Amino acid sequence: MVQIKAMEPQYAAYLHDESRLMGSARYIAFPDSLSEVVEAVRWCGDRGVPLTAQGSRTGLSGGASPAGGLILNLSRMDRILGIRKDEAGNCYLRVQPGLPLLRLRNALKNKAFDISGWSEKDIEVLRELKAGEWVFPPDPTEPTASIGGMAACNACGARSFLYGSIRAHVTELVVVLADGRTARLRRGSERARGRQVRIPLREGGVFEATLPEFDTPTVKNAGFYIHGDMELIDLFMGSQGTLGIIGELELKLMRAPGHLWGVTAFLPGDEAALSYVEALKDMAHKPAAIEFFGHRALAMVERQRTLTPAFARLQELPEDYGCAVYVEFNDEDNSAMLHDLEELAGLLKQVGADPGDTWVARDQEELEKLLIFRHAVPETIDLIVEKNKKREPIITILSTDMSVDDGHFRELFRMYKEDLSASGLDWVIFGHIGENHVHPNILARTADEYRAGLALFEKWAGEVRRMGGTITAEHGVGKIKKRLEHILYGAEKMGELALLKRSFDPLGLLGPGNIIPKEGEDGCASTRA
Amino acid sequence: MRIYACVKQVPANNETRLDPVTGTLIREGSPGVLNPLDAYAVEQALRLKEQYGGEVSALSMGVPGVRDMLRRVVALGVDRGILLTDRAFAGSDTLATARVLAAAVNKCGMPDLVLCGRVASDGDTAQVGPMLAECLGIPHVSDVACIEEIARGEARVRRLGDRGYHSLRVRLPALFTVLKEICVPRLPSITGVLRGEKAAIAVWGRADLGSLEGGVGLKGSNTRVLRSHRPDLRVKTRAVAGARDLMDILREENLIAEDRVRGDI
Repeated sequence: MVQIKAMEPQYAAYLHDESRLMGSARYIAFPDSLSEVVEAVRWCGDRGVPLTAQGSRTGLSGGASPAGGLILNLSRMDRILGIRKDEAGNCYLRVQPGLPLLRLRNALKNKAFDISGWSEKDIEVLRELKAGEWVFPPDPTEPTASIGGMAACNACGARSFLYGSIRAHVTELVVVLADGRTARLRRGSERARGRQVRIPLREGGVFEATLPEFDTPTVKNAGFYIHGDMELIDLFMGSQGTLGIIGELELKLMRAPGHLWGVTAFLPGDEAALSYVEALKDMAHKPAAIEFFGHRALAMVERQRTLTPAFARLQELPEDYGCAVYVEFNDEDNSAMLHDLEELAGLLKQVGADPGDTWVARDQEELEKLLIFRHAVPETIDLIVEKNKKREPIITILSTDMSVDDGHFRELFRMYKEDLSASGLDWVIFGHIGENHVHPNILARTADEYRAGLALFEKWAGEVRRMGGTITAEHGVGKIKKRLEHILYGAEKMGELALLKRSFDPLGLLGPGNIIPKEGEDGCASTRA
Repeated sequence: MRIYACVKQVPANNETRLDPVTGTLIREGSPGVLNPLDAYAVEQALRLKEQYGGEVSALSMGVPGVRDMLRRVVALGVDRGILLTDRAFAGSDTLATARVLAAAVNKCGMPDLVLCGRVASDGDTAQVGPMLAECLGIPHVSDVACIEEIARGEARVRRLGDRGYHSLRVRLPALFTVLKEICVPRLPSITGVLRGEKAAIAVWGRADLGSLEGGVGLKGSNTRVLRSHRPDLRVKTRAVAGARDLMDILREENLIAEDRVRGDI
């Protein structure tokens, strides 16, 4: 029996996610099985209580910040339930949605599985598995993210340049619909017929709905995924708990690359970095990740070095750094590295950079140092936002993840920089430049600055729409980016999305305030948070 | 200034991993790497070279494959790598290892400074550095947290003792074993890696080192490992009633200087 508890001060941490958007709730539940999730959803349905699903609360768009009703915290559903191999030798894990990514990685790396309750068949498959033989490729920056949360917002991370977002690596979902009925959706099995959706239910019967008439952007997109003849499993990835609750997932694993290595190069300026990135994308040997660190982001981490003891262990930056670009390669063995390093040295010289001003990570262990540095940027932003929020409660993380195609990226990047430089705000830019979505972050110090930051985001959303891009490539729309989504799609398409939502959730109980504005809401919760 | 950094190759993973199905030890995925604490000795050597000029050599005793690890060290900016490898060295205990390293140092000529990591992650003895200093007949300081200055043939260093830091002046040549807090090891640059790959690593065997008094290898080792166990690390604790009692204890133990205690607490 799932316990529905009244909210108490001890649960205050569950009222927000990493975005710092403060929510409210009357109840909280920590189910530990799929059947308890079903019970909780039915409990809410019977009483008309809205519910917000949560994983590790590491999201950046407020998707897990509750908007009244029940918090359905799935962090106790953190088990790996089983393993299978198909005839082609591919390996799959069945997991609960609250499993943190880091735990999954460690399980695969060290062959450390809790096999209690596993079937004999699954244990036999595990017997043959070697430690470190398989990996789960999606790598959002925050490794404590839950697998269910990652799927709900279609998270990706740096290596999606090579591997794509999490969508490509999830082969099955068990979803709990608004009325408590459940469906098992397999990739390659259940598809829409044109715009018609028919979802076979595990309890018998079929759920039917109609998709909106338009397709969502083709660049990497973390909002709703809508396409004619689409795989129905994709409907629940990116929709952030508004159409159903993810209760179980099957993940397709990938054979671990034998050799992971990377280079952080310091370049004289952003234009040189853009040219270097374009050259990296054209390399015959495709990188796994290409990341950008603007000058202000580097300087911000450098300043934090004296304040955060853990940062004192970061390597010191070279003198006169402009900005930095990190490129990573995932290879079968180390045979290509030297040749590629020579090629990178040539590319750097071409854009006026010095191959001596680089940090090379020659293996996984050294790569960890570069990743710690990479992680230090958002961690520092978190610390600053947390501090500023104490002075001004309206402040949340103001991070964008807009994306456009290759042809428009220079234009988008220059616009970010011109607008931010003219704004007088505190800002940094870093992120996944390989897929044309860097993260301009505005570190608002006052309510006025916060609103000025939002206004800039809205201006950019309009420009991104003109360029055919998306307003969220990986963080999801959540509650913070609804206004931007409205600008991207316009009122008519938003109306179609709201209709889709209503057909799945007539009472509007699932993920209230996520993606689709509530009745009477203008679409931007954060301005009134 | 001439500096030698002594480095050792150790297994990458010293965590014990058990297979959940068979209950046996998992050995996959543990290739040899540079002993983590030796990276600090190498980094400190490079910083001293950058500050005072001179050259840095990396010295390692091990199997022939250690040559690749030395190339990786050269990539960081070390001027030359020297590998001491010979079947006759196999099974050396800490003293026999120190003898081999000392013979190599003597062959190259006494440097100004020898730096070692505090301890190797596999053997966990922290003995080779001090033994090497004894074999060379030079002073050593273990657990060095900071090399504050080198001037006029002396080094001023800060070392971590059981009860705090000590500042010491040491006449050079000397040997220091260094702690993690001394610096942050760098990653190599592209230029460095390409240079390291092309670097010639000197390989010396027993015949190259002349007479090794006291012997080397298993035969020359006076110690045998009978058993490994965790040391008893119990520390006595006692509760104090207030700040006054605490101050009394600190005075009794000579942990504070009287002239620095001012006024009533």
